[in-house]
Amino acid sequence: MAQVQRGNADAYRALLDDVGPDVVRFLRRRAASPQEVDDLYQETLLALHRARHTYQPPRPVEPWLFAIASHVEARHARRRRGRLARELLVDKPPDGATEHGGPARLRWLEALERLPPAHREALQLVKVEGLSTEAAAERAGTTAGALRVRAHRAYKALRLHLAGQR
Amino acid sequence: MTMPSTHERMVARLLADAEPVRPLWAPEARLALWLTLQVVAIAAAAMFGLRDDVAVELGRPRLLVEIALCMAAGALAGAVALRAAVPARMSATLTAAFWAVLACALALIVSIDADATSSGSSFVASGIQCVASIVAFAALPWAALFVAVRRGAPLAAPVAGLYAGAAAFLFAAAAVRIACPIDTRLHVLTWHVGTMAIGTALSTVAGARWLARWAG
Repeated sequence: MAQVQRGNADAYRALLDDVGPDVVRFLRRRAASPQEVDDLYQETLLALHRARHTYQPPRPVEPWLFAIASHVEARHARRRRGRLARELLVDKPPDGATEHGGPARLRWLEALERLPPAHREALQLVKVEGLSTEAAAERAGTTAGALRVRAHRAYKALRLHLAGQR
Repeated sequence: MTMPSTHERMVARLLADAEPVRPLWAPEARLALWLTLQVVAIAAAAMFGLRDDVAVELGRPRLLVEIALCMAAGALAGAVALRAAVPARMSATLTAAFWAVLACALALIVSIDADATSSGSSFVASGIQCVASIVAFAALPWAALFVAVRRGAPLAAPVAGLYAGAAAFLFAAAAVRIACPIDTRLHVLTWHVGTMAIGTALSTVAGARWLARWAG
């Protein structure tokens, strides 16, 4: 890890290959689904990268690394709980559209359909799946800044469209 | 062990950005630097104006013990804040010691004689002066400590903010106690302890807002 702090790419690769399986095992024990392990793993590696200057040689790497992984997992769990608290779970899906939800939902879907695919994806990843900007950018294959711009534009377009239909 | 499909892509991305970084100093070294700044603040308090009865009070150890406890609690809070900036360095012993010393300091303050003679207007006027002094003494050390914590990677951002605020305001309150001649329980609890509590609460909010950014 001290070599990583000095910018040694070979040492960095060796470290990531070495700790990767342990991190995955750690996250698998805590994640709700295999898909979530993937997201958590990405976020953990990004957090490790951003916090690499805080590692203090010659202390052991594992406590430092798993403290970060644990933090990432806890943050993810908080977001998931927040999302679940906003969602209404029912045993049986409704047969038809409800009086108030139906037209609004149609307008919402129509507005979503009109968005450029990249903007729709950004909104989906950040607001529906609750990923961090970095993880969402990684999934979309773009930079965090570009993803933020896409999500913002998607928001703006949705707001304009929905306001225009009232 | 099956690795996630994104492993290779993530490794490639991180390696592309594997520039050298300057390792953070050990929390102990950073604390020593910060305490030096506090010594300057306390010296400034002494130069700014000692209370008239300081010679008498130095003969009675209660005030000295109270100030020493506030400074000790401030130093412990600073240590906890700086350790909170480094993953896996939080210390339960240090945290417990901080709360124990703080409880002793507060117990000593609560035991100060009550006073019913001061008028409402003089109570507020003298109090505002103390609040302004505490805020002035705390501002720079708080900013320095907050920036130092932010340079790290605090896992519990509001907690780091809380201890940074407690450290700065405890030292500031200790400095103002050297200068403030009003030795009544209501004054010290309302204007000194109250300012400390509000300042620490605001620092907790600032921590939640600005210390978690490293995590993205």
